[in-house]
Amino acid sequence: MAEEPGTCLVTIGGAVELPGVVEVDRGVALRDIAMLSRPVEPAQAFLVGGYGGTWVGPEDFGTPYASMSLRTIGASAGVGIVVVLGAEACGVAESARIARFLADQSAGQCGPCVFGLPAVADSLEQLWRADVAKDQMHLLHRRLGEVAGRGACRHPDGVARLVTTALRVFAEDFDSHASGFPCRSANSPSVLAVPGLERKERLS
Amino acid sequence: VTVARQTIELSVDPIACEAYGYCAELLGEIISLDEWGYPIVSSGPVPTTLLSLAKKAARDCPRRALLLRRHDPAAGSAQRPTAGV
Repeated sequence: MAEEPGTCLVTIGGAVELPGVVEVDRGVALRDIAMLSRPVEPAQAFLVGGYGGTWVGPEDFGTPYASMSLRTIGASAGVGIVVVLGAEACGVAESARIARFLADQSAGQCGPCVFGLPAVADSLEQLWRADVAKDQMHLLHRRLGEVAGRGACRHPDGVARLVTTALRVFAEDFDSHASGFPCRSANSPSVLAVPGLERKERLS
Repeated sequence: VTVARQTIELSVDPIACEAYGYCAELLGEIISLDEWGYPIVSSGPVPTTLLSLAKKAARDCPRRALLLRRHDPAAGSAQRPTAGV
């Protein structure tokens, strides 16, 4: 029997031919949900639960889309979005884009969020560029510890969760970026629908 | 019969706090500052030897952002915060 009865709606985006909303049985494997939208290239990760969600690596693609199962891999359905990150994308770059967007979305009430989230995004952007002037991995780990749980709301916690899972799922890419060698996909266009991204990347 | 004793815990109102940093100056034993000057309070009850300093720190915070809570282990949850008791 399925873990949870009934169906649910999932929004699928990213490296797929048919982005949009699909209705699936609860408990269907993440991999099978992605297949419904016809991935255009093999997936290296799924972003589950939206921008404040979690990156899920291939070893967990078989996880059923149901709360208990997702919880065992540290994820949750969150806002009901699954983004497929193709093999030709850079997880460091995509995480940096999301972190910058979320930093810009701060309500501006608590110091650790106002200063911490832009600092987390800075570290990620330096890593994305493979700038090794400072030990950004060390800085990033420290900053993540200094933003999680320190706001009046959970906005910073979501950013910390997203970036922490990125460090695990894209560990190899982070290693090479941190050693001054960006992965070959570092300059690929984003597969994410981060608002304002096009304009910003055109300006820079 | 064991008598559960009330303990005092410190917390920061993150909206009110504006990183003056007086608390970390007064109470460096249990309060450190992050990269941007905002206080990080060690979790758990304030050691009795530091209680008067903790009260002073709460009283002296220009933003009244450092809160002392009476925590009754028997009741299980922290009670209403009282600034500068």
